[in-house]
Amino acid sequence: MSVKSRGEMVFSIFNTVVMLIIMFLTVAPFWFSLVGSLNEGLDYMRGGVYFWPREFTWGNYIAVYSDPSIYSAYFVTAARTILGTVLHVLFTALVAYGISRPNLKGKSVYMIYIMLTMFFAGGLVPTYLLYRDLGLLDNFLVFIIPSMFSVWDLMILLSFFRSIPESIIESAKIDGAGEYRIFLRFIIPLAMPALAAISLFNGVGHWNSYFDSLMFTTSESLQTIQLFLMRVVTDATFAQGMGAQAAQLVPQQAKKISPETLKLAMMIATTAPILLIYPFLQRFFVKGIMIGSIKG
Amino acid sequence: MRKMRNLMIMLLILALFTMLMAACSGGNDNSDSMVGKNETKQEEETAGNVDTKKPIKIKWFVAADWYSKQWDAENVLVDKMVTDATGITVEFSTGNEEKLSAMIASGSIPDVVTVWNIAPQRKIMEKSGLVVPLDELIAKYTPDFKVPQSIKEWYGDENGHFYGLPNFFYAKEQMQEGIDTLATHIDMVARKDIMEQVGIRAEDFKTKQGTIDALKKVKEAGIKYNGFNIIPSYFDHHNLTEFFGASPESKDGNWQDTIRTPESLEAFKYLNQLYREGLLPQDSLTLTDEQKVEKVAAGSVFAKTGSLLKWEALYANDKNAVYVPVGPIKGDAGNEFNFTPSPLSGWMLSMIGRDSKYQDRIVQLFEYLSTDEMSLNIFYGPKGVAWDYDEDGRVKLSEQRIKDFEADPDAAKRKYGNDTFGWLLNWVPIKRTWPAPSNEFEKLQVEHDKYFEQFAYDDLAFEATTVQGGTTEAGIEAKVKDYRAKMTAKIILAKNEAEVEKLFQEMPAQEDKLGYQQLFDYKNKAFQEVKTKLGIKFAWPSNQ
Amino acid sequence: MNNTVKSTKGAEKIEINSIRWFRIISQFELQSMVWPGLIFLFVFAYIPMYGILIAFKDYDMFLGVTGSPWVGFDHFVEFFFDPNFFRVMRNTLAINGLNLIIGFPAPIIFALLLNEISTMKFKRFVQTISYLPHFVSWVVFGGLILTILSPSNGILNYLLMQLGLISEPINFIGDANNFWYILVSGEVLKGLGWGAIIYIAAISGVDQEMYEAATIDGAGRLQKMWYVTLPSIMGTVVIMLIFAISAILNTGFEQILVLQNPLNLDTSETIDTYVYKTGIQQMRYSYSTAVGVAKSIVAVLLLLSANYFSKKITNQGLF
Repeated sequence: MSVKSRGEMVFSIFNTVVMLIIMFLTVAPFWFSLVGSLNEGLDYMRGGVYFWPREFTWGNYIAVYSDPSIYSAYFVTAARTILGTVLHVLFTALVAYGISRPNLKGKSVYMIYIMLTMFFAGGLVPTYLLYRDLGLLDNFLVFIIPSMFSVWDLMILLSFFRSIPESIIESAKIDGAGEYRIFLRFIIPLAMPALAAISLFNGVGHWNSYFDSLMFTTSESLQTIQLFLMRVVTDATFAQGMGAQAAQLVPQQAKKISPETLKLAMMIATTAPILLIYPFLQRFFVKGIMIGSIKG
Repeated sequence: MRKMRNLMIMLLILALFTMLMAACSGGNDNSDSMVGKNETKQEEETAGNVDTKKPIKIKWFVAADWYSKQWDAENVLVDKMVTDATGITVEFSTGNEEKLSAMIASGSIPDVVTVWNIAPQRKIMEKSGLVVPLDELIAKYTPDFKVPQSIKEWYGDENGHFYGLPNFFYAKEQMQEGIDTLATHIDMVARKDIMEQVGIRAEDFKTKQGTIDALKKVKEAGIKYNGFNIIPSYFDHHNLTEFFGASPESKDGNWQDTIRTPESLEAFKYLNQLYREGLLPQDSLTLTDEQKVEKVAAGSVFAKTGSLLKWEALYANDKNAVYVPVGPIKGDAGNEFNFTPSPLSGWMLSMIGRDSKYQDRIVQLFEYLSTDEMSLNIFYGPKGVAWDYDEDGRVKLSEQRIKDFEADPDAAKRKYGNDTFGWLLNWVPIKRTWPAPSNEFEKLQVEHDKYFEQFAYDDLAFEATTVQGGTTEAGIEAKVKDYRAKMTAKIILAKNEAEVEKLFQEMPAQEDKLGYQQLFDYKNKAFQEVKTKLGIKFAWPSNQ
Repeated sequence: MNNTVKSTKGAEKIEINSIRWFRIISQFELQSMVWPGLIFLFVFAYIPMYGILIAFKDYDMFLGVTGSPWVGFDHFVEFFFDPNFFRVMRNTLAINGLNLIIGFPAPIIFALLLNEISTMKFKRFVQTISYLPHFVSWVVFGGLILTILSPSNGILNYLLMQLGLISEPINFIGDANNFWYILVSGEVLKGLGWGAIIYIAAISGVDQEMYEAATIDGAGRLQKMWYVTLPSIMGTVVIMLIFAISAILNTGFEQILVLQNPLNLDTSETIDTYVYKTGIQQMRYSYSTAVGVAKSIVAVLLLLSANYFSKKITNQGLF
């Protein structure tokens, strides 16, 4: 670090203050949710629980985790997230690389063909019929195959691939490398930050998805975690809707958990794994890549 | 380079994993078709010799995306009870109405389908013949199965067929005079502790002026609870209109919109007066129900209308802070008032698919589930284990059940399976045999319900005006509702009474622009038709 | 005569086509990377696309998409001639206009500022924290906004009263004039960290040699940010901007419905919330699809023009 000028000092201080404010504003909602999820449901309804639980309980988490089918839901969701994300990123990146090459023939036609699909979708019924014909209904692959490719991610990757200096690709070609080799050997390592970002978007999408599980599967064993938790919460809402009746039938339960606190616990339960994985992805973002080092 | 190799290995593993998954699901398909083959064989075998308890598996789709049930006849008591009695194992699948649409479009639906009775999918399935008329199945397989006439009529089509059984239907034939009452959400309550503190009696709320005086007393006393200023009231227009006796039927027997009646204007003026005198906060119009519940639970609300604003949380914290029934406020005209009950015409309708191989067995299952006692078993768990009748003929929960629920409510719920299979549930017998109150709070609840339920009337004819989903009129109704929400707020917050009147008069013209006339015609036509069907000339008690 | 002309023309066509095909085949390797994607889209996007036809029909699921009766543009007419059309359109444009002015640059600025933090641990920490709100559902997040703004016990009113800026609590969310700003502020805060991820990725891809060169030239940090970082991520920024412009009619409905109440309906009803209430919730599939199609056509037109101008001005675009 060289000696900083006065202006740079001011900027550094300003920047740190801005970051601290943003940190406070962004951590607060999450913290309040965490606190709420650890508070007794009935007590939470009285309001004012923000910084620390007033009536501490694990009840909401016990309710979330007490049903044994949550574990199969976690497993299915983890499997689809890992498998789905890896295939998605590789496939989309491969197509994106092909499209990004300036010498690709038919490029403009391809682009229009690709872009149109972003705006016009056939809706649920035709999709359902298609999946039925492809044998994807109630099949684990319905989580993987239809989401293997996304035009949105393709567009983002295009912008990254275009910023890769043409000279790298040219020199590789002179060395006799084919397109696939260039893609694997140079493009993937160079576009690592972008691929990491897309993996994160896609992985979170997989992790949080429930629509395909709801619509295209019927087996309980193919229930995703979000769908499972949604059902736990609605169940509690119904119990509460019966009001005094539920209170009478299940006195303890009604006191410890409420739909609100249960929702919060569920949110934390699904978010926590993502938070744990994030630091591993993060190193791809913060490390600047020396293009020179790749060449060697 | 090593990185690259690792990547390749990982990909290879993933590919293998994919293939494995595919193989697994493929295997499932195979086993499924095997079962199918076996079943047809079984059917052939039993064709001549009907075995009503032979174990079978039926597929049951419920168009409610939050629902999920894994049938487990070994561990779940209710499931075991049903399977033991009928030989049937149910394989549930769930989704929403759109998923059902897709299934209809694909031309194949499961053995049983349960769908919301006003969803367009229901009528489509009936018209298209995807579901079988239940009357025909009953005549063929279970001639002794008596479905209440009012259900048959309500859900019947032009050809005299009906296709399914509803849950939560209040059948007139099953109601016992003087014992069974209709539930209602219309209510008006006030905090007993505060009333005592400032000297207000429940009777004070019977008149408009008396209520205003009472609320003023509370406001002027400057009472604080838990450090919060007490909010005098959370009253709403809908409840007040019912208190003032607005009739949903005109004198000549047409359907009418209660929001357009003079009583509705009276309610607007009254709420506006409360607002202007500082007895009704502005946020009563902007808060959601959950937020109002929070205020109630925090103990800062004196009087309120609408029983959806629950107060268990407050009671759990302060045993003196209880709400007692007051009012209802009488309108200037002194009209007789009748409260709209919770829907009488049921909620979800369960129907039997055309292609089902087990139509006979499913009708038998329906018959089995349709007794009063089965409703209790489904709701509490099997009789004998979970509950029994006490000397007054009410339900008394077993010691074991109470203990189980206290120890671990979630595990207990899974053990008894109570309230997880309510698609044919009848609420009337459950309400009739409701367990005796075991604590102060429950006693208050019973008193509260008794007080307001005496005003509830049989509004079945008016429920026919509910607009079917998917129609243009459903769209119009949504637009009108949105507009009314906006205007209601504007009117209540008006500066003076003249403005209230002016805004109120403006509403019909704007609603007409949104297509109101078409909506009215739709509702009135349905109303007239159902009155003919029910054989009545007038549906509103005061008109009769 | 005619025949010969025709046949030569035909032959020419075949010849041209075969040359084209030859060119495509000649780069077999490159084409083989692209074609799986095209086939994928054909199967999963184009085959089901016939479902759009229900926008012009009265959809009956038993008759199916093809069998349902045609109604032409009835559903479009209902939407465009709705008495609320003008209000709903104005609100949609206003909210998304604000989002473009504030919500679009916010994550870029955040990413740039984050990049200037020299302490690696602090940088990582801030980044991790900043995207947390993305995982908080709108029901919860919106509920917190409402609590903060509440006239009876909200912190904002409390502070303003303590500071003597106001004498009576203000019902912020009950005033239709405030709605756009409240909503957009909430959206910015919730999406700030998540939206920045893509720019942070772009910044990490910037060639370090360029910074070294700039340092040698004597550039300060701000200058490097302005002359090196920003131009390097411009490609990503432009693409995101083009998409943001083309999505100007989409507001989503979840977050709006949470903050909506009868007093702010005049400014809080957008196309998406309106169609949610009058179409989707009412199971009016044809009507909902029709509005969706109308929006998509506008989006495509906007995308094409935004791309055109972007190419003219910045020399960068989607294609």
